Amino acid sequence: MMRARTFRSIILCLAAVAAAAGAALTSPRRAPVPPSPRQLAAEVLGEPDVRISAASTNSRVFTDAAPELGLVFHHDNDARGAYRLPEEMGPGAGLLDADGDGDLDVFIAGGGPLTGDRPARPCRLFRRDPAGYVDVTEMSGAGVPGPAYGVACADYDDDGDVDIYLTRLGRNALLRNRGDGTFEEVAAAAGVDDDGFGASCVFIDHDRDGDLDLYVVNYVGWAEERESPCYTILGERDYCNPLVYESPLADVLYRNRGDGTFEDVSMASGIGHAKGNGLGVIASDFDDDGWIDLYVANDQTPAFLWRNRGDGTFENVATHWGCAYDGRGIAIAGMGVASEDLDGDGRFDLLVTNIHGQTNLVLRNDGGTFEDVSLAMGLGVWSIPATAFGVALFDQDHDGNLDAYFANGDVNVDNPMPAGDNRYAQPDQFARLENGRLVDATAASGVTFADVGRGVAAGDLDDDGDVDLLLTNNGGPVRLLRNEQAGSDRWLKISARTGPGRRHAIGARLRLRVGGRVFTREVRPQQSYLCSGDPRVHFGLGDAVSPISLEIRWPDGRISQHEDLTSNTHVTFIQDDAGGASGREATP
Amino acid sequence: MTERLAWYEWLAVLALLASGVVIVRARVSSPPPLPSPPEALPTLMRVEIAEDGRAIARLDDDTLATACRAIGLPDPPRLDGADPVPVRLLLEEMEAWAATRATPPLGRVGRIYQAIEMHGPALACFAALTRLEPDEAVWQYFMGTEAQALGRDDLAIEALEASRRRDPGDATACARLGRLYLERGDLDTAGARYEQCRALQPGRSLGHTGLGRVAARRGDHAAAIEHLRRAVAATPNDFLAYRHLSQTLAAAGDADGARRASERAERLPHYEGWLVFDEKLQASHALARTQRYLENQMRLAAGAGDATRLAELATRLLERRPRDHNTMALLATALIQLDRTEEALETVTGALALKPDGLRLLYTRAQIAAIQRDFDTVHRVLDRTEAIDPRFAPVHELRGRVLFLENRPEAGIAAIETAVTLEPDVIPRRLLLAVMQERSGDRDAAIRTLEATLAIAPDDERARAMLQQLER
Repeated sequence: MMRARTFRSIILCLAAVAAAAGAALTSPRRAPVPPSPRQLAAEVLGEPDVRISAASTNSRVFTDAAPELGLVFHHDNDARGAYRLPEEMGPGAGLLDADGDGDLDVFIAGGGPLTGDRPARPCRLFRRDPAGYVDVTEMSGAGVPGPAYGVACADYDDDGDVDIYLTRLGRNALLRNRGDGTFEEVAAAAGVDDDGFGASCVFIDHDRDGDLDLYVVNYVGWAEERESPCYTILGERDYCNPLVYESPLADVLYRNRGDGTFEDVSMASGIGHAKGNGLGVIASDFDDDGWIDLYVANDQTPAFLWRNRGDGTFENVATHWGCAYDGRGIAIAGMGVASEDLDGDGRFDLLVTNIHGQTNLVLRNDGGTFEDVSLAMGLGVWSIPATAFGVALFDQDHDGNLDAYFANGDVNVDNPMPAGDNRYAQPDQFARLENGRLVDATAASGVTFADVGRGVAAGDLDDDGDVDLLLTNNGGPVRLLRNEQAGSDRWLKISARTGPGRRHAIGARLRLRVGGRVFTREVRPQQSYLCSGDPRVHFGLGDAVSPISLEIRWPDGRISQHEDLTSNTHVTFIQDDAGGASGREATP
Repeated sequence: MTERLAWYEWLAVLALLASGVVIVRARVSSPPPLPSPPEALPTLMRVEIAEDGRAIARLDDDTLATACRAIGLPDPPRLDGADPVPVRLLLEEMEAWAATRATPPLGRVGRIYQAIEMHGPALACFAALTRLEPDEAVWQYFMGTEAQALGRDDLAIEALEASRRRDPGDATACARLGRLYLERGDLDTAGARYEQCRALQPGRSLGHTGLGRVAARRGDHAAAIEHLRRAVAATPNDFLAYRHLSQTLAAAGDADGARRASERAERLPHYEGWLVFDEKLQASHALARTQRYLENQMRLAAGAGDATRLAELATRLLERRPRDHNTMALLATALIQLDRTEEALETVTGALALKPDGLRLLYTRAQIAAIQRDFDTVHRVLDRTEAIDPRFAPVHELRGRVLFLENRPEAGIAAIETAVTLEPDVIPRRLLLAVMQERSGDRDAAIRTLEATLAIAPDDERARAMLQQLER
């Protein structure tokens, strides 16, 4: 009996233990699987700190309208596996009213062979008609051969129509508008046929003599013979960085003589004394002394800031003003550049695009000095993997705050943000300025374009009051991003014109006051990378209420005041001989 | 004995039997904790020879990603077509991790990712290691560096502070923290971390430079300049310290000093970021044996004038890139310095067969001919070089030297003057011109050259000494 009881007890104990063991083995919560490094990493790292703005939930901010409007262009970069530097640089583009009918036509720099082993590809001119774009290259005579890069559009001869300057691999071109929408190439006759490897270019009246001078940025002294094999960190063949060529170039400044020709004043002005691997340029009165200065974004060599001394000469104050390098002392791979008043203090700050691995660079203008505020402005996690070229600062949704568009596309095969089949393609990015930070709003905006992005030219291409974007892509199509902003908001578009030909008053500073806010802009079509945009100045007014007043400081320094402007109109001001200006309103 | 079991006792027996089945089934059907076929990973890769003679790794990136998931590792980057050396190392370490589940191979996987700049997977490895070995400062440190590279500054600060607490003697962690705090505008904490860095390593520039930057941000230019002068004294080849000094001098109104510091900065060899300062990061690069690591080492050897090391590194690199004529040119240059002229000639001849119009190669070929006193060949090769790029200044300098050796001093001086015009900032060439002018009897011209040199580089002691000697 005793033994039977013992046996029973043993059976019961064993059963209990076995049941427990079985349960332990079959219960997933008790499985002795150690957490994997993937799981541990996820626990430690969580989600990256990428802030998507709750306020930026507009669906479909942009639509690519290029195909439906007949704007068809595919860039030929001549990439044939030889990894030659000029293959990856272009193209640029320009928005201009080529035929004087009031709307913006489109000029695109052509690509084509770097060496003359096959027929050259011409630049293209597309005329805007009510139904869309018409390729008028042949009839206009604007189809000069590429490979071409930078485009600047302005009426340099003050004859009332817009001309085009074009940098190329080889002699640059100047397309003089005959006034009937046709062009003749006059670079040699005008004395502006520089033969450096040109990049961005800009028309400015640097000496305030009433006509437009020309600044041309040069990249590197490239020749096929200078190419050498370069490799990624993983040993793959890749494009070289520009320092490999050991051939930075000086930029060129041409002074307009006023008779249709130019004089090379590079050395006399001081510009020719500095060399860099120049790509982007922006002309602005950074020190607010009434004279236009120039910031040049150089690719891995120190940036230039040419302060205009007011006597026809410039001094490079980039080191002095703290904008030659980023805050860490690195000469960044500066490419595109935009400048607006980001913090509302009336001074023009700088936004410079950069290669992957570093953030795009924001330099806050503190009045004679610049401070690198890139990280403080939120350009951290989201901008580091991007290689941005073109950039536009504009008020996309008319809320009174600037937004930013970045055209991304890598230059190396180790692209950290690949998208699609092209190894160099990256998604473009869109950001909104909110509470002093540029917040990535790409996902919320519907921007889904992944190309090898290069140029961005901003302008009101459909004349509906908001800013659209023309994007150029290396080895790819152009895109026309139509701004789908609803029309119920408030904006203002200003044209400031001067001179006998009533050309756009490039360099004029506009201060718009509305509802206690002050918006400061300049007439400055040349921004971004290789591109020339809308010369009309656009303001989003937000919820500020009238009255709206405007102060224009004209390029010659004279000031005119204008009161009681009406929102949602395009207003043209023409400088008169007395220094004032007459206003003329027009609806879009 | 014959007493029958109660019903509940029968249930217990059944439970016992059933549990045995469960145990057996569990043993048979449960997957092992982290299954992996240890020998499978290296066999994923095979080596091919590319058109340019490079060995390249071929592997199916999707298969590798699946294998990584199976053994709990983060998704790898695209590795097909990459250099087989680091790829093979990576696969071997992955295999070791799969076989042992030990932290050392996982750490090496992370460090190889770190060296090949795959910051995402590297960060994941190090983050896991901070859990597996929470007391190890190095994993926190690397988690911080990778987070910093990805712009995740909050995480970087957290990790680097954790690293610093575990290893208070790590000056580099202090410097990295200083930079992070400085960039977010926390000048007090930045100053404290840089001060710790300086106290730990007073003989290096990092801490001094950081303190200089903090002082400059506070607007205290005098203090900033003092710190930055200490930085360049501690590490005279720190081009970044010179750039910060230049900016601060400019901001303080010393334009000439700023210009000199800036010129000095641009003349120094430019290294890649933290690699020079960070021994732990250097060890990762050495572990991964990347070509970039060899390139950086070559650059440092060239900067230090170590021709032996340069030749050794270039030879190693050419084993992996047999048609890299750029490295061949470097090797030839090193061999010339080592008086191994015949080998240099062989190297450059091979390179010219690959790139007949390569400027550097032609120039190096002309240098060899000059050493061999084969002046006809020198002029012939230089003519060819000049036809390709007449603005390539070293060609004119070399021609000038040779013309001088040929007793044609006027032509030699003219050639050197051309080189000086093309590159006015190269001081040694200006000194060479002055020497030639003096030796050809034109003492006044030599004095003018030296005065012009001092106008550009007022601190150049050789120019000043030569001028004083001539003026005596």
